[in-house]
Amino acid sequence: MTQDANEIKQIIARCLQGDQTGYAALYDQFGAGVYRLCYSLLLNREDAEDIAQETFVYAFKNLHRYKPELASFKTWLYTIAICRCRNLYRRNRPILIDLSTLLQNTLPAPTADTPEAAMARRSAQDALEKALASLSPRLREAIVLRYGHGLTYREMAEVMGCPQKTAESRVRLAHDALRGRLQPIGQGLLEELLSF
Amino acid sequence: MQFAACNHCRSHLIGYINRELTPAARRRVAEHLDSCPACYSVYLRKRDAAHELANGLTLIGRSDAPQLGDIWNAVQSGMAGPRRRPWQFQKQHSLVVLLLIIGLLLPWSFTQRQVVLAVPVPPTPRDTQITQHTPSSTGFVALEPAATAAAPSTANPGGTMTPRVESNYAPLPGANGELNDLPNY
Ligand SMILES: [Zn+2]
Repeated sequence: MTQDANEIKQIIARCLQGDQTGYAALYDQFGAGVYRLCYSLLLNREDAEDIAQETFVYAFKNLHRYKPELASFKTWLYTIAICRCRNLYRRNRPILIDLSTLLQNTLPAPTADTPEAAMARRSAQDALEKALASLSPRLREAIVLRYGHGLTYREMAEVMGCPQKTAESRVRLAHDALRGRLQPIGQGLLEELLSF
Repeated sequence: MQFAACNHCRSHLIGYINRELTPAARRRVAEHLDSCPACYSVYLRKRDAAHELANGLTLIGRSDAPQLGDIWNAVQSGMAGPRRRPWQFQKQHSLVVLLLIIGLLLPWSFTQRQVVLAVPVPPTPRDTQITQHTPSSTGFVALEPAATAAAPSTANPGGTMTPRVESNYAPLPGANGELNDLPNY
């Protein structure tokens, strides 16, 4: 068990003993990641906030069920979040937002960027987010977990509830699908990204 | 042979870049990359692309402190109040239970009705006094066969059919006794 995992285990033990600051510590560590995961999958700010909240409430109320020997806490949280995101997909709510507008509102350009670089970055992000929206939920999960959150294929398999080989093939399929979507945009960088 | 080696190398490049291969597999890919300029070129492109994709995807959905604070407040409210999802589940669950109960009660109520109809009403108990009556003590007159046979002919001169009078059915009132002497049933 790594140092981080030991630390998380101790925080969880504190929570289970009734130490309320433990919950805040867990949220500090994982809140941003869970929200980002939810947003990347749902591409809707309100939905992502709701699901992130539900994920933590469920996790905190069921903390005694978490088994550190079976999965990392991050993987466990992500499993809960993905499960709730899937419930939302099943309600057949299409992604109706204008992603580029949203992206411009939510992604401040790094201050070191020149205006041209900021525009190029924004354009690339815009294209990437639109492409994500065009993917099927399962492929979106795969590419987001792999590249957005750096999960290994084994962790992805745990979170997505599928064999490891399926997780790998979903990432490859997502690459193929994204390449088709992004070529008309003519982003050299993104074409490179999708040359796997 | 070189074609197969290149295929093997390229199919393992993502694992190599992400450091997910076993030491043996990793060494095999590395050795091929050192000897094959074409695969090394592909490796460089994929490595940069993976980094760029990771950077791009980590920017999507990045939240700021106020937003995370709002979510944390909602989490705390959720911890304090009733959980939404389990409540929805309970509602659905209770509906199913209610339907099951109705489904079970309906045939049962029919069965109950049949049972009620089948059971006879028990007789109301009442006090009875059984006494031994003899013709001499009560003044009853035992009907003689001759008297029974003669009765219809006197009541119906025309000879129409009349119900047969049972010999032990009823006493002849006034024949030789009083009605007051009848047992009070
Ligand atoms: Zn080669």
